[in-house]
Amino acid sequence: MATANFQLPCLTDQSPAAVALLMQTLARDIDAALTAQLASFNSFLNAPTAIAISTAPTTVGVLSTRTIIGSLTTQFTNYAIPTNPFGLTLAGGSLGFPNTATPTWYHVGGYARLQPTGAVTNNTLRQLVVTVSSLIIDPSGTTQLEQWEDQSYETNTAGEFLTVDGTVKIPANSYATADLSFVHTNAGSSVQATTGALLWLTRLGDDNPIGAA
Amino acid sequence: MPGSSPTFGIPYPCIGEPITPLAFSTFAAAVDGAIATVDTARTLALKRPTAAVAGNASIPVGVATNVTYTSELWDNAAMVDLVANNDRITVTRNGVYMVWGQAPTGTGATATSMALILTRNGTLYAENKRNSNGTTPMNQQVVAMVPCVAGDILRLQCLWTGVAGPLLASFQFAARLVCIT
Repeated sequence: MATANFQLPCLTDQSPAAVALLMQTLARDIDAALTAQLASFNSFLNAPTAIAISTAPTTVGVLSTRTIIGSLTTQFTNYAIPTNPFGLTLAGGSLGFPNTATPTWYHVGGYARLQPTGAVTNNTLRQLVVTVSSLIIDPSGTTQLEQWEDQSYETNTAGEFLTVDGTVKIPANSYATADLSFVHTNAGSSVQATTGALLWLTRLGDDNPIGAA
Repeated sequence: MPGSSPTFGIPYPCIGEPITPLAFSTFAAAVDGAIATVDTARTLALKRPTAAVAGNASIPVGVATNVTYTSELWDNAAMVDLVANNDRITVTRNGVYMVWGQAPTGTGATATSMALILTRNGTLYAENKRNSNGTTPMNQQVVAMVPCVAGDILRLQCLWTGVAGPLLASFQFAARLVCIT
């Protein structure tokens, strides 16, 4: 005999030896059932999350092309950030997503202060971009999954402060990365993303079909 | 010598040992403790520490000012006490928090720029700034993930430039636990 839900054993023999064996089996079965539940709760409470912060400014010259903000160091992570398995070289300043067997949704975001190093050309663009890409091996390179931008037009020398975020589905068994980059059209001087730029990601959930449990 | 289960250490008698009422009560107490441990995790999972506040605030020109709030929209972890401190969310559990601040169009001023600044213990953590020609609405928000320890103070500041004022606007500010380790 066993209980209905967790199949915990019930006593069917009244000998002392049977009682001892029952208690042992019961203890281990209860332990296993609660351990599984605790692991599920802890996994739910600890969604894979990472925050990277820049430790040095990234400076580019006048009228820039899009430039990745480098010198990122991990401020927080609760998973082992995967290394590139294909030997492909990524531009500096990227943050790797966990590699999972199922498609997974993530919330990704960034922040940076874009500060001219000298003269400001009035009403020129400052744009912060978060790009999520997945590595492909043949042809080698990356394919872009999502990209989000925030922008402003600077009229003084105080710098522009930009934040951007969005959600992305990471395909199964892929090696995906996020990077933070910026563009400016200042002609009067170069512009730098100052120390303290942030790039972060956190898992939202599995990619269930809409309406599925 | 009694044995015990591998994770929660639930004790049980081995075959041949005397089975006493104490053995049963110790067994039951250990099961109770194990369930309580799981229940703590369950409660935290179902009720992630979250707080949200709102209020109309008056912001002087040119000064980064802590926004104050009059309404507690949500607080399941004693993170807000508007009577004692109406300008903050205080973290009560270690973890990483998603923090979000928002301000719609203000009145009473002609703003040429407005910034929403997220601070942790008084230090800038993230900021969003917009410039305007003085007539364009300045709806904006700032969002960031912030590692915190219990006792950390999260605030939203507003800094605007322009003429007239003070700027009168309705603000919202929220924080939610994302992960605990």
